[in-house]
Amino acid sequence: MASKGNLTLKSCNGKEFIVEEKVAVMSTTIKNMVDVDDSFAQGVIPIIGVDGKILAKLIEYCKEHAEADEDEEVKSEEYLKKFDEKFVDELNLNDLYDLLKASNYLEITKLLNLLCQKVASMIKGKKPEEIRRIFNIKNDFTPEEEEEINRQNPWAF
Amino acid sequence: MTKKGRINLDSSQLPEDIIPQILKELPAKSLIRFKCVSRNWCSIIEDPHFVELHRQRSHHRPGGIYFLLHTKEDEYKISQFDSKQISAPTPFKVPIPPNADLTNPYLFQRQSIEGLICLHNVIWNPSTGKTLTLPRLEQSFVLDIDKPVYVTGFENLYFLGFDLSIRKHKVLRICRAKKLSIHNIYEFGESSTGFLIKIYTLGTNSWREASDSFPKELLKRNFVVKSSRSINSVIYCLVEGDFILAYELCNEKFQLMPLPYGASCTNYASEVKECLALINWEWTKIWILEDYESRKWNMVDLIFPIFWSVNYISTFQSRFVRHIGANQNGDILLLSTPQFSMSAGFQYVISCLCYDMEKKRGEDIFIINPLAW
Repeated sequence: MASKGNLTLKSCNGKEFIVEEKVAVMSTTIKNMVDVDDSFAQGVIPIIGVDGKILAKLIEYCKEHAEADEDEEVKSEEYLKKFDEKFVDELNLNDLYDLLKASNYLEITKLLNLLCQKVASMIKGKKPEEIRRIFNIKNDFTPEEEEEINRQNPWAF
Repeated sequence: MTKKGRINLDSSQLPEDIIPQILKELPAKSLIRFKCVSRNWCSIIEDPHFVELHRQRSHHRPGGIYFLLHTKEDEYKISQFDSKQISAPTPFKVPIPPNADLTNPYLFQRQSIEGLICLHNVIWNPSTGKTLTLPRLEQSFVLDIDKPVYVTGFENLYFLGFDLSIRKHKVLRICRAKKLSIHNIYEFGESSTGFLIKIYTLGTNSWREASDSFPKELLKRNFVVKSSRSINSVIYCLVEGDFILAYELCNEKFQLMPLPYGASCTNYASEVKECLALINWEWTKIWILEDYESRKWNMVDLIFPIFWSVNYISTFQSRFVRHIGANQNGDILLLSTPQFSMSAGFQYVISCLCYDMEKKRGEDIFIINPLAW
């Protein structure tokens, strides 16, 4: 890696964020860019498809976790857990949706898992028809096929 | 976020690989239900790679614990415990009343296996309130006619588990003839004459043979299962003689494992973070089976707070405190025997204790008053 300094990230709507490299490389996508090409480490890294608001959120999350990874004493597991809980609780649905896409694109695994857990907790008890509405999925089973799947379901006796 | 009434996450705008990422965080019972959402979802849920991904993630999810009290002949009171608090007891009727002494009802605990609870030959679904009675065994024992033995009764043991590879519940049944012989008062089964070992997959309608890999040495001994636990496609039975009889649900094979040094089969089989856990009877050590394949145990010293020793001393000594599992943080949960409590208004109550193994710290988290159920 070229330098252990700072990186500049640029959102799709032109906002620039200067972040420490250890924070930025929480994203595997950014890490791969920096590792492969030194010029990224000096210049500006464009983050395609992620706007300033979402990028700020991503950086907020990565900062906490990068610092915790460096020094466990200062930021305990308990502290991070509380931070994570607060982080997802404060998100509105649009931000959750955008962050989900952004963390997947930037490969921030920890955050992606956290967001997926949040979505899972929201849909856990829902009925299949509610799931279809939430995710805008068309039911492509015939009623007979659907019945057959339910019949095989040993849990729903 | 929940302030908004309607959740909307249009998946046509989401990258394809996000849906499996979300689904892997769901409990198996939700996945089973979501198979009929669409062909795409069904194929994701049944994909072997996804099954493995989900299995790995499910290590991080705690299983539900239920407390049951047999109150009437055909009725139990049941209460769910989510590692922080306990729900109000609700009645639950069983189709075939088991034999039980109702003059002295005791509170017992059952783990929920991917949403189902096994009570002898009845499987109960707490979410729907429905029950399923397991089919009868249509096979009789072949008795060795050369030996003068008389069958005096049968003992059936049922163990519920979940096979993650095919996403189905299975019930292991060990049926043993209690025999009266001229040599011993009770002589338990020898070779094939006294044991029937069967496996049943929920959704099918018959018991299948499962005795092939049953350890021969157990057929000869006085086979007593002290306690059992079903974790990650393996049913563990603590067997008298200090063995663990493990039944692997994926390949339907038995394995016999020794107990870790210092542990004994009087320990209550429990779990910590989806691993089998045993506490020694002095309550000073806990063994955690961190890796089943390599049989790797990790031993942790326990130092309970002094106020527990004072409050529950009789129970600690008489080994009646039970280890019931762990919460999400891996703190172990213990249940005392009924204690006379002044703070609870001079009543007999059961205390649930939560112990942090790293900080060696513990606290009472709630009390249950079974007499009020």
